[in-house]
This record gives sequence, structure tokens and C-alpha cells, in this order.
Amino acid sequence: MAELIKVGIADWKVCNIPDTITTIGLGSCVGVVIYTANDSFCGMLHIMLPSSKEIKNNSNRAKFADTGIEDMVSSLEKKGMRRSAMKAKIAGGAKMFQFSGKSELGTVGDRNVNSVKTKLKEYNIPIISEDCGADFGRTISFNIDTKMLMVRCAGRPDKQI
Amino acid sequence: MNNDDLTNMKIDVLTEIGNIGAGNATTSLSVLLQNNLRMEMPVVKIMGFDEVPEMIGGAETVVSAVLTHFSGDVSGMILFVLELNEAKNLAGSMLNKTYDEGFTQFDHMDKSALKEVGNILMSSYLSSISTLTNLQVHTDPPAICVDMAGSVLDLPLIELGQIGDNALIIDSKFMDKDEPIDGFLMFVADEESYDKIFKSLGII
Repeated sequence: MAELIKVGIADWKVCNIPDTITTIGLGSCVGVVIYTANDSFCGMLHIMLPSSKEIKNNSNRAKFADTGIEDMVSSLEKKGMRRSAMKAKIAGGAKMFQFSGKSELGTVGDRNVNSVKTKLKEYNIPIISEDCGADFGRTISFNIDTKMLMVRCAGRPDKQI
Repeated sequence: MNNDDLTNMKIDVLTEIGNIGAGNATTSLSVLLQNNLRMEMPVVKIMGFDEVPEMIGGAETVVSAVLTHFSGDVSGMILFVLELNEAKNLAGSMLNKTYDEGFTQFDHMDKSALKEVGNILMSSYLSSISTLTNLQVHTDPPAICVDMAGSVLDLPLIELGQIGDNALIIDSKFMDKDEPIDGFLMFVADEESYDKIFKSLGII
């Protein structure tokens, strides 16, 4: 029986064929899928904040782009995935509220996306496709068979990237 | 006094503040809507952040959320969250119009109306805190977002993720004539702000 694996906020999970992996309601948060062309499993991460180094309360490593990617990649490697074959697809990092003026918080979506890209680059993991930014939320699910990331939004057509 | 007593007592105080704020808010809203809006006694809950979307049917439920940052002696953010159909009812009754079924892209006027309602409710709540405690609270202009609850609530979650793990929810139910409008106010403040509030009221 194929199951739907749900990844919560500040969480990552590994998913094996024939299951599907999903994370719901990405706003400023970013979802990262790491997979290869041949492996029958993948990992999905849902990060909230760009960097564990900026926050004192950083015990939950999956909350941050840097430590979250580190942990997920090393776990995938332990399961036999080769670093050099890894590919990534990412989505999220929207700016949900348009505040007039200042508020540095409004930019957290962009900062999350940048931090994810920096970390993936450091690991030499290419980003095959992405759907980031803008001002709407996204629910994503990854199909390991087709390697396609389904992006669903409220009031917009579904997208495969 | 153990922790539970303290928490219960604090909840009572915040409920009472909520009641006073809600009373003022309902009066202002009734004038704005030109009808007899009523508000039931709010219920105050403290919950983990990921539980919040469950209050309105889950992370994928489409909601309208108005968000305002506040600062001064106490700082944090406050949100007014309505399920989409409730938002349509409310905006419809203010603008005298009806909306299509399903997901609706609200236009500028709709958003402006909802933002104003949120602004009145949130300002009333904050000003009742300010009046009771003699603490200064300034609000920023509000912003509105209509989207999946999970994605709308992740900005407050991110702000909260840097200061704590729980949100204070003031669950308020409004009655417009006989139509109930389900919505809630969500108050997020840092530990220090709560301490100031309770201290100024002589509770700690």
C-alpha cells in the first residue's frame, strides 16, 4: 500500500517507493527535495529560518536551512545515496504579507531561499527546478517514479516542476 | 502556587482583558456595520504553534488573516484570522455584495474592508491592555493575506520560533444578526512583554 508521508514544519523525512512525500502550506518557509536519477528513495525538508547561527534557540536543527540540509544529506548518504548524484528541487519562500515600509521580517522568504541555495551549492547539489518567491502559499508533493514535484496553490492551477 | 495555578490565573487575566477589548471592538464594529453585532465571551487558549491551523480546519484551509506588529513597552504581533467563507460574509455585509462559491481573489475594496475590521478589533484589544496596565503600545499599519492557513501562519511562527513555542489565542465569536461569524484573534508576544503586563497588574 502506497502511503502519504507528511513532513511537518521544521522537519525532514525520507520516503521510499511507492510512497509519496508531501509538506503542506509553505509560506515564507522553504521545502527542499533531494533525490537521484536511480535511487528509489528521496528526502524532503521543510525549513523555517535561514541560519542556525543567527538564533540562540537552535536545538531543532531541521528548523534551519544550513543544519537541516546537512542532516538530511548525511542521512541520505548513510542510506546509500551518492553525494555526487544528488539533485534538488525547491519551492516556497514567499512574501505573504505586504507591509508598508520597513519590517525586515517580510524578507525572510528571500533569505530562506538564498540560504538554501548557498548550502546546496556548497555541497555541489544542482537545483533542477524551483518555484520560489511571489506572494502565495504552496503545498508540495514529490513523486519518486517521475521525479516530478507537484506544486499546489489556493486558487491557482497545479504545477509540475 | 504551582505553575498550573499561575497559568490559569494569567489566562483569567488575559480573558478579562480580552473581554474588555472585545466589548469596545464590538461597539465600534456595530457602528461601522450599522447593525447589532454581538460578540460572545472570548475563550483564551495557549497552544503550540503547529496546532493553530487546526482551529480553522487544517493547514490547507483558506483563510483571511490581518496582521499587525506592535511595539513600545510591550512588543509582538497580533492577527485576526477568519475562515474564507466567514471573511466573505463579513466583507459582504460591509460592502453590500455577494461572492462566488469557492476560492475568491478579493479585490482591493474587499481587502481594505477586512483589514479595517481587523484593525478595529486588534487596536481595541491592544488599547485595553494599554489602558489597564498603563503600558505604551504602538501599532504599525496592518497587512492582509488570503491563502492556506499553514502558509499564512508561518510568518508569525517564524517570529515566534525565535522567542518561544506557544501562542496565546483569543478565540472570539461574533454574531451578525443571526449569522455567526467565526474568527479568532491571535496574540503573540515575547516573554518579557508578558512579564511587564502581569507585573503592572500586580500579579507577579
